[in-house]
Amino acid sequence: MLALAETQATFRHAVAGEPSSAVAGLLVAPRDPIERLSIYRRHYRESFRRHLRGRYPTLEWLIGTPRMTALADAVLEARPPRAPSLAEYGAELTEIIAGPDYADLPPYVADIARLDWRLGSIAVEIEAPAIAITDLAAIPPHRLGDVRVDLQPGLSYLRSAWPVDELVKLRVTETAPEQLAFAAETVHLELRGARGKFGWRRLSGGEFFFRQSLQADRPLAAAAEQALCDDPGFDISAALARLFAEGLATAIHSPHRETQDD
Amino acid sequence: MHSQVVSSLGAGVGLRLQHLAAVIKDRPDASWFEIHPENYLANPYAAELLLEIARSYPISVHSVGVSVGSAGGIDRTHLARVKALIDRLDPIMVSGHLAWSTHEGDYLNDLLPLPYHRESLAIVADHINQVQDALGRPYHLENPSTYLGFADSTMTETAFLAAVVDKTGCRLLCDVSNVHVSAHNLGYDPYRYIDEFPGEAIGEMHLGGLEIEAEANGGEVIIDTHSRPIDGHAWDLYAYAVARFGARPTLIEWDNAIPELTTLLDEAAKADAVAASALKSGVRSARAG
Ligand SMILES: [Fe+2]
Repeated sequence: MLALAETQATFRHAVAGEPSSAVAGLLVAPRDPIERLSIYRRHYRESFRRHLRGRYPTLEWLIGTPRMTALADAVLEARPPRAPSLAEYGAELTEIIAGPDYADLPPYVADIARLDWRLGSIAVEIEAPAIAITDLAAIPPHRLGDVRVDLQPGLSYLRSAWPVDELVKLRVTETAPEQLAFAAETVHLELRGARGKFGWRRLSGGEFFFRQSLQADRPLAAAAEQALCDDPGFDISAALARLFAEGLATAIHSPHRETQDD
Repeated sequence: MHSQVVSSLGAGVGLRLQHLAAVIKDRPDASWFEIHPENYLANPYAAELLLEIARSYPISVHSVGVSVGSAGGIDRTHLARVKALIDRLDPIMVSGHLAWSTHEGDYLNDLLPLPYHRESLAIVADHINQVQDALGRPYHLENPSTYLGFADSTMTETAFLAAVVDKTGCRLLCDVSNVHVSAHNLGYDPYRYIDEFPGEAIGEMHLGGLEIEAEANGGEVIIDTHSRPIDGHAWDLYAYAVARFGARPTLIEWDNAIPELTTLLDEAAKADAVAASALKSGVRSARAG
């Protein structure tokens, strides 16, 4: 009798890799145990293919189902899931598709993949109560630069050298990808989702870097600095007013007034 | 309170994400719902809907990620996340499979079969004790559907289940469709399996759809797809099990090609009717059916 750990190592390898002669001796079935093993092998691949295709609909529309299926298999082999919740699996595809094995694909596929993944992720969030800009009034002006602002959980910021948002629109309207007329154009996208819905809009570079920096937990001064790098005319007061008016801020944290942290 | 609720339950249905909004809107006449916690752990919106549903319906939690059969141990992080959801739902039952799905940290997203012998018994019992200690509730262990067995098994599945109950005090979930599937696939008598099943430990039953596939060698294998109405053989075996053990809360499982909720509720009503008739007519006629 093999130790259970050894049996499971052999079985797992036979499911996720290739069946070895060792596994045949472990298994019993009325007819051919290896044919029965192929059911587990098939389920393993098919369940992940189905899942990844569901998470990357625009990418599949763009590269076609056969290539998407092969990509899903490659992701599964290179980066098998490390947690039992299938819904959380698949972000790894965005890294793998940016690698040399996919250099023949259009240059924007990695951004499309990131967009697909993030739209799916933000759509399952729920919005937190927004706070008003008057909440900043309690902070002395010379301390404002140190303040951090929490943003709605269903927000994501994506910059691309290609107008990838147009591709999602085309997919939704069922346009054939062959009809694409696609020219490079840098876009700064704010993706917003909650309770099963999602949308996006284009921001100016300054606004994009400001909000993206805040989301990355940088203080206001550092976020404004990022924005100014892209847009020397960036107006932080106006940008802050818009951020709060759009209901995107959910909490403020000042290192000097810990009571604000709640 | 829960034991009173559970004993009076009719058949329930598996609640899947696409039906959450409809349940809240239409308030269907369902006896109870069973959920997979793994679908809610990274989905705050679905969890919000589920918590609202749980205010009006009894909920049973059926984990597909607590891998009690893994030789490498159970994932305590995952267990803690499942417990956090369970604590918010206060479910009527918590269950999972006699199977394994992870090895050295990699997850295979399937319920893989186990050999039944002394070592696997000790491992499964130890893990169920850990789960029950962590959750502070009894765990209902489900008999799996299988396509093959192991040469080094020294116990039948029913003897293994009885021994686990003995060692841990856990409860059992008798999936009657799984009995039909595994018995066909491994060539044993499903009625004898039911006769040998430790019935007093059953807290819940399952029924799920299946598909038959031709094999290259001329045989047929039954695949546990949960994608169709309950098979006639499974209904007959269910009647036999109910006549033998008495009625238990029974779940209709449907996880692929998921139809309208009304189709699931119709199957649940059928389960109630089959159970009522089996209780009236007794074991012998249930088997003849
Ligand atoms: Fe089941």
